[in-house]
Amino acid sequence: MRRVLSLYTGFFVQSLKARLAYRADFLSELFASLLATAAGILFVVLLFHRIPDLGGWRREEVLFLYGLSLVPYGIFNIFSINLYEFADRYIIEGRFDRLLLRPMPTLAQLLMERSRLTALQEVAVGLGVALWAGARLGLAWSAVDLLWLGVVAVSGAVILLAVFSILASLSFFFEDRIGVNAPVWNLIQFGRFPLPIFGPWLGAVLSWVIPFGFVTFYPATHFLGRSAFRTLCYATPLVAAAFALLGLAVWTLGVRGYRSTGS
Amino acid sequence: MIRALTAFARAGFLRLVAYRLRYVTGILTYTINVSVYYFIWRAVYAHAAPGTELRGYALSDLVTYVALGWIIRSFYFNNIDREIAALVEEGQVTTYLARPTSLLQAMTGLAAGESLFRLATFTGPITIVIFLLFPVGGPAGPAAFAAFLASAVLSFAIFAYLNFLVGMVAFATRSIAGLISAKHYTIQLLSGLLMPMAFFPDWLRLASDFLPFRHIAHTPAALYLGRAAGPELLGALGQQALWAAILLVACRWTWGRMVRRLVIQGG
Repeated sequence: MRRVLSLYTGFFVQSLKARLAYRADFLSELFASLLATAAGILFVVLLFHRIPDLGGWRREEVLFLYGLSLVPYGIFNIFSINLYEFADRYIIEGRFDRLLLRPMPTLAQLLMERSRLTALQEVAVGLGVALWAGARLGLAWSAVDLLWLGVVAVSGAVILLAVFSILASLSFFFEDRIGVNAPVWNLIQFGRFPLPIFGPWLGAVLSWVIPFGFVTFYPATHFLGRSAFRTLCYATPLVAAAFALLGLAVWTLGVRGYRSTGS
Repeated sequence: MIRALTAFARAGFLRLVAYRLRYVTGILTYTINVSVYYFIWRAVYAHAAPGTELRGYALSDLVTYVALGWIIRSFYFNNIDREIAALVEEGQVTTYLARPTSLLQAMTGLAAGESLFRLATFTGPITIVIFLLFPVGGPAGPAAFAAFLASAVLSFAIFAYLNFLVGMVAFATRSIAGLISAKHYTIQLLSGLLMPMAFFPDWLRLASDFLPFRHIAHTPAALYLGRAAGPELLGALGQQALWAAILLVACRWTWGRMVRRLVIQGG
């Protein structure tokens, strides 16, 4: 077990070194990523400049949700780039064959081969915004709250990784560049706002089909004291575990059906 | 010169035919973007009496504003900045120096071809889907609609020239990914795509009056809603055209300088 763990860390550290080797690129990427985060937060701030509340949700509540949502999203983004580009880089350009030759699960290699440390800024900025908004809301962080924060961060990241692993698995069957990642990636933003504002239909899709509602909104109701969502809130780790298993199953199925392009 | 432009436009057209399937998912992406902002604005007006206006906009106006903003974005959008950066990185930009057309003509021509192609294959279907799904209102009148169409063409020009200018920076620095990202978010916000200027704090609204970005999304949508009539309408279009002209001059000047720099460094 310890050997496997050191293998994983060694692999991950190696990929980080490769990324950091080009310092100008790294800084440029960090700058771009910070801007994206800032723009999202700025939209919420500007929205509430002239508006008292959003369908019954106050400014601090929405900012808390938005900030909190960046924590699992940032963790996910450390590993996400290869999932987005899996079809192009690994199937069409033939890199996947290499992964099959190594004594490590292919999905783990894929996630760690090109990591983005810059995504940590999302975790940091998100936590900052959530703590600020939480303070304005009078949140007292108990030990249970802190533990739940950790659970939310990990569960949310796992759900995002599972959903995009499933999408990446589709490339095993359809080499075509369908580009299904973009619309699903755009769905993530629904999970940063109070789910009820999106109505029953979209709410159901975001809860049970593509469960982005569990990435932030449902588990966040623990902090916001909205007891109407209590059951779904505490079901978050279960949903994450279920989707992780589903993701792994679909991935395994895909690898089994894989035929190299042979180039 | 027109013939050269049409040739580039045709090439841009053909380049897009190769990726037909992407259109289906593209339509989905735009629909998702409109729905995010549709639901957010609906929630803003949730507890207000029907017909209530906030900052001069009823909910129906805002839905129309947001929908039209994304619809025309599907038409005017291009990646000229990224494409120039790639040309510089791969050294292919030199081939454009040997041609009788300038890089500016080539890039805007290609982008115009793509935009025309997308108008039929992308903007058309997106318009239908969005009008079916959301309560989008019609134009304020024939004059408003004609002005809106003219304005959308000028949006294309302003967007293309801004992208070209950003692309020019690739000649000076190694990576412009950060700058491209900065431009993207500046335009998204200051063009008024996400919310009309009326909702901005006063200082930001004032600043946006002196910048070209608001003419990309806000001006065409406001014209569609009939926010300007008669001389005001012409004034809005005139301002937009003026910005397009200023940016065109800036593009030509920058390209001229870059060519001279390139020759000095060349070998």
